[in-house]
Amino acid sequence: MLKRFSHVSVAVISLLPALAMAHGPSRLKVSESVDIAIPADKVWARISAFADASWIPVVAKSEATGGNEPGATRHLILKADGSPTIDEELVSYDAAAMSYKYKIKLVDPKVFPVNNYASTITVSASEDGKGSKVEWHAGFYRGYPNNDPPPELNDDASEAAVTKLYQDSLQALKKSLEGGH
Amino acid sequence: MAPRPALIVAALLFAGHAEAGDFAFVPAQVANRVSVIALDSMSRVADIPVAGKPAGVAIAQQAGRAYVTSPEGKFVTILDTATQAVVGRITVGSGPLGIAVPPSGAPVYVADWYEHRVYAIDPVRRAVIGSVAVGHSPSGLAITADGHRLLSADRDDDQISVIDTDSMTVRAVIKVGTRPFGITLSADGRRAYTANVGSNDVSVIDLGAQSVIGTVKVGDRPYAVAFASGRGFVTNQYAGTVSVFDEKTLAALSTVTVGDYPEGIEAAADNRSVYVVNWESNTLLRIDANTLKVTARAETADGPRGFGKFVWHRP
Repeated sequence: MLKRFSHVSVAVISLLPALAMAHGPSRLKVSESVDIAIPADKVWARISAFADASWIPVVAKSEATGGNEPGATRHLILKADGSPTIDEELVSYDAAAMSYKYKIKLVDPKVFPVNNYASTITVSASEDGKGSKVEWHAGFYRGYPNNDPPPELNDDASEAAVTKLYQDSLQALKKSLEGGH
Repeated sequence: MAPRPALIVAALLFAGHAEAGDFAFVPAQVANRVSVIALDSMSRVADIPVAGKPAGVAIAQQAGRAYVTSPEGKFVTILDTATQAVVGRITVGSGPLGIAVPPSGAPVYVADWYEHRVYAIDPVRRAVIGSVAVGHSPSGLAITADGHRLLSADRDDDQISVIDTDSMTVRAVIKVGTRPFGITLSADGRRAYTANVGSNDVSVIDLGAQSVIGTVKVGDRPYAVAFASGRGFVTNQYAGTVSVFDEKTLAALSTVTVGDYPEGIEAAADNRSVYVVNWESNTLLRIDANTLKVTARAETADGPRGFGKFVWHRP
């Protein structure tokens, strides 16, 4: 056993760049949505610019490149001690469908305990057209790339972190839009 | 959405009279189930509870067994494909993911994601009978029809390992694109194809020459490859599409829009269609391999992966 572990630690050091994409074998799924009593086009207008993440409460600042074209990036600086950051990239954008997909390029799992995270946000109109629904769903792996993870980086912790981000952000979006109406 | 007994009976009766009567056994990782889809009617006939975040699957056609890996549970579950019941479990490794079985039905080979090793399992004795070290994070496995050569896509070393199964030794290592995940053999066993998650392409490997002889550009985050009607079909997870290329010329032919996060893909027995598992959408789609249209759709349990060969051709 000792021999194997020493082999692994040497491999880890020599393969640091490779580990940027390392993850466990079980992808996790979170999906959250909120109904907002505001027409879809107005809700879409608030969140449609990928560069502008100001509707997400935990984001202090966003430094972006590339607008709404696939490959556009945003560097999010979070409201937390030490101003941690998340780098994200736009994967696809469909204005007609009021939807876009993006992925995290770089994050410290201690800040947001996920790996290989990709997310889609979509606005749809309610049947009567007076309201809308915002759906936000993600696929990702837990923060710990190996087996037998510590509790703060296991599947439950990862799901809880993403769920909280989505719920908090969607509720804040609903509150600000409905409140301003 | 629990399957009703009457539905199961109806599907079995229907399958018994159909010409093909194939069934898909799709591990649904989020739900901890294996969804069973009757492919003639595209109806979901069972959700079999399988713990440990099931992901990989291989079918012993003659023996009527489906072998399902659970990487978090660290075991392989044995399913009887006719009765759709769990008949056994074999503990193996630290993170069993990719799995393959030769037409003879034994041994069953399992890639261990964390131990960087491929295990051989005797499915009758239900015991590990051998293993071999491969590259980092072995993912997909593919085995030749004669059972003598096993290929491992070693994801985090950007290579495949060619394993001699008689001696359980690595006979060759071939560098491919970035992060190969799924690996598929041609029908004649001479070529292998890897879906490279990191470089968004497919490496075409000549196993005799032990070298990459072609590269096919595909969509974002390719996962696995299947062949039907002289065409290659590649699931692109992030793009939500299947890339289609010509098997002979390797020319890109088309892109088919499917569900979100398409993953496992396999051809039908008649070679005229392919089945695509969509992890985010919880669906199994049938694509006509000639018209490239989606012709049928079935629901699965939550988070289906179907990593490997999941179609059982009912005799």
